[in-house]
Amino acid sequence: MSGNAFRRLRGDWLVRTLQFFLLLLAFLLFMGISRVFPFFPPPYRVLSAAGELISGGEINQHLLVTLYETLTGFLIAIILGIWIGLLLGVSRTLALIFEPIILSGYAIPKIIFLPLLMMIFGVGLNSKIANAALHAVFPVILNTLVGIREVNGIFLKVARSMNATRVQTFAKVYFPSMVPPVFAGMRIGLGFCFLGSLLAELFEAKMGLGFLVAHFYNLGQIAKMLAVILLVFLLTMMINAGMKAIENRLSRWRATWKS
Amino acid sequence: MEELISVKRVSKIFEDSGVNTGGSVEAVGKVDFQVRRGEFVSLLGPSGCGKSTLLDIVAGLEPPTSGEVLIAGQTVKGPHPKTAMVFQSMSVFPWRTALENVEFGIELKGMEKKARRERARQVTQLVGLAGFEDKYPSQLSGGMNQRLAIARALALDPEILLMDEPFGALDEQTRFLMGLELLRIWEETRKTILFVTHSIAEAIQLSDRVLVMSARPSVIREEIPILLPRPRTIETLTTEIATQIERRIWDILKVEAAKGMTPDGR
Repeated sequence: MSGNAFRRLRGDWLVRTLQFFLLLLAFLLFMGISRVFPFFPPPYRVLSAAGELISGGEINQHLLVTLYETLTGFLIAIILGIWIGLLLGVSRTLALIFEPIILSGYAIPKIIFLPLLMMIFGVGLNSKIANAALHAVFPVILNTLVGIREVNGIFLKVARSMNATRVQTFAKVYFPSMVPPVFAGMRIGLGFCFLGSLLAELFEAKMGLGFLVAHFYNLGQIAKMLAVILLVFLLTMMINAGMKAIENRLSRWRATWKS
Repeated sequence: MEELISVKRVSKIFEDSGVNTGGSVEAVGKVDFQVRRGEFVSLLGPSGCGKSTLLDIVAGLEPPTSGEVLIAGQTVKGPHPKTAMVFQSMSVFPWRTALENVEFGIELKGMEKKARRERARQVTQLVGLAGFEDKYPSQLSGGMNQRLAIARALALDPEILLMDEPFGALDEQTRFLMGLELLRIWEETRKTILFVTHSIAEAIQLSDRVLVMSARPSVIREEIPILLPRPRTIETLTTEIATQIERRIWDILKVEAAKGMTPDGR
């Protein structure tokens, strides 16, 4: 056990070192690019621009808008996605009809629907929320569907042999076995939501991080533009880490299941 | 002695289920047998012979195509409250701790939390898992998970345990030791046990009677009483009589197993 923990720790350390060197490499590459192309700012200018954006409070409202769009879209996607996934999971007929549509929906670049969404929801925040939700709903549906289908048959047999009611079978067998796949779908979905709101903001918006990137680009303030991108990157990492932590907490029993 | 389980001319035909057979499959053909209260009876047969289907019918999980099963005189129409099933070790719920697994059945019955904790603790102790109540199945060995599956069934205090190859996933030594454990539990609780297995050694180790099944459609080829003294130990199981019983079962089974290996299953 302790040997295992040690190996894991060392693996962690190795990965961290590699990541550090990768970052350094990116930094150097960046330096190189900024020398070759004069419009490309050197990294320290990007970092100081990021500092200004944060300390000056300029970024706050944009950050809030993007977060609001992303999280609202996410909430809608979870509610819709889980319900649709459950419906398709219990009805073979519905699955036969809608599964191919949902699979293509998953594959299609959803940004092509943005003009349509703007016609329906207006050019304000609502069309961004809709776009975010549209991006996230497919992985949530599909993972819910997989979750319900892959519930171990023997667990269901155990419940049946003990005369479990339908509600009990759902609450005590389906639900707990579906937590891991549904949560994985939600984690992917949240990333997609972020993508959805940023993409929509790049096209037509007055606020938001995506808007800010487009805005600084149009003004030719490339250092600031890159600073926003850097902040988006960090934000995504934080969101992912947070989701992972919740996921691990919810399925503690899995921690040692595979080993 | 009173007959607790009566299986009367039970047959089972699966319509249109086999991809490789195309038509209907006759899994069980006209089976008759009885199990008396307190008895340990094994259904032994080659793999794929329909013995698990037969057990599912006794458990009320599968309706018979014809015939009927009586438990304590009542026709089985669904899972009977006097029976509890034990499956392979992978049937314990990985998201529940050992104690929560044991509680599963009585929780479904709506037993109040405190009473059910206490009952679960008793049973956990009975199967030799005291001290492991708060562990998850992933933290327990295969043999311990199997004890857990037995405890989950015992918590319901059934009169009859129906066991479907419960030790099938275990290695040979663990299997033998689990057999001894099961006999100890059986003697302590005086349950009636119907046990499905494809292991001759296991059937002889455990049973009062072994019903040797044919290949599909399965019928009972022969009933073999295991007249070995109890408690069964490695000494009683290696006597001349034990070896003779084993040879006799082998003679029946090798014919049946060979039938099961031909393409049309006959």
